[in-house]
Amino acid sequence: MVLTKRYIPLFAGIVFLLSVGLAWGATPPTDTLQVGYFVNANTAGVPDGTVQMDNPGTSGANICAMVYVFDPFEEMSECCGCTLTPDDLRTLSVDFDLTANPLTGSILTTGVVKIVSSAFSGSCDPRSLTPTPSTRDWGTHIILPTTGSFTVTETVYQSGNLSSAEESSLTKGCGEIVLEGSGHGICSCGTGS
Amino acid sequence: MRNIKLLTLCAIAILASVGVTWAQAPAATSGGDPVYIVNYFTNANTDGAPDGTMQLSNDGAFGHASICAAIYVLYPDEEMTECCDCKITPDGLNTFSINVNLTSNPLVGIPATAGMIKVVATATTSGTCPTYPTSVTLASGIMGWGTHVLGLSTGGYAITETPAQAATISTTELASLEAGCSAIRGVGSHHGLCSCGSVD
Repeated sequence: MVLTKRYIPLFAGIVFLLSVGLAWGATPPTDTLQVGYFVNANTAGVPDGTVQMDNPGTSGANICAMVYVFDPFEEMSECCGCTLTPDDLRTLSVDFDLTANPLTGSILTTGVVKIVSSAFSGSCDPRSLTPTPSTRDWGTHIILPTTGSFTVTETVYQSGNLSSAEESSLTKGCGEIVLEGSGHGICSCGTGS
Repeated sequence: MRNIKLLTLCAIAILASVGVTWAQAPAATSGGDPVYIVNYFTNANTDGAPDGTMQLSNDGAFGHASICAAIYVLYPDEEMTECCDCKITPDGLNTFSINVNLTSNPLVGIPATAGMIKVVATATTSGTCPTYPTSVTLASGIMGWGTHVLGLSTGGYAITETPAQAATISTTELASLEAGCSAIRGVGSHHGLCSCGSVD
């Protein structure tokens, strides 16, 4: 009985900490990371690619689509934060919005785009994330077959699990771009609402 | 007595932690049998560009019963332009023209050239779907696909197609869609009512 009395407060404490941990845990929530790619951007004779972004209203509020563009060697080239209102449609050009202002001046033709949905707090700063579901995104791919002309295909962006390490890497990389880039390395948010 | 108090505290802590999680839970979640799907369209009602299509089916998850597809069409600036409710039988296929069925009867007289299409699976009422989806009961099993007419920077158009994407719908989002459609019903004099396409 004494043991029981001793352990009940301990048990209560563990339950409390677990409950706090569940709510505030280090792992970002699911459905906050979308991943796509582009090829043959900024290439003569082939069309521009596009990325479409929507806020399906999962959070019931405005969200930020934090956009991070990488070269194939996983170096971040550009980043930006775009406000998405519920039910809107925002269209980004791969050539003009995502790759025209690279940090190092080296224009990408191929790369990866990561979009993290983050809580909106009056502005969208991709150097700081509060992952919040969700965006739904699409991207066209300009395919150059070994024979013949180009082909345009399209896929939905794939959902990934945003790890804490990935979250840190994205915000750190973008922070360095903003700090050292003198305006280079900042992508733009295209057209839409 | 002290044990009872402590156990009560434990129970409250557990319920509180569960409550924190559930309080944020949406009305419905995506998964294998979607409740809510979204897709977009571009270059609709554009000279020289072909029409786009949307296909809807019912995977039968809702008790192998018919469901209603509550359809909401929105401009890129998230203003609703049309809405309607269409019966989708299990394993059936409904084909919608973007130009004819979903954008040709806009509330304010301006056909959308681009925008979002939101579709919510809802239960029928005595086997029928109301004209306007303004007060829905969620169901599941809606499947969708959409062609996208893409204007190429090199000239001309390309047609691609993707599945519609399932997403979690919040109570706020659902209320917003219902309210938008209710406003269309209230003031539109039948403008803003989309149509249900063809059953193949």
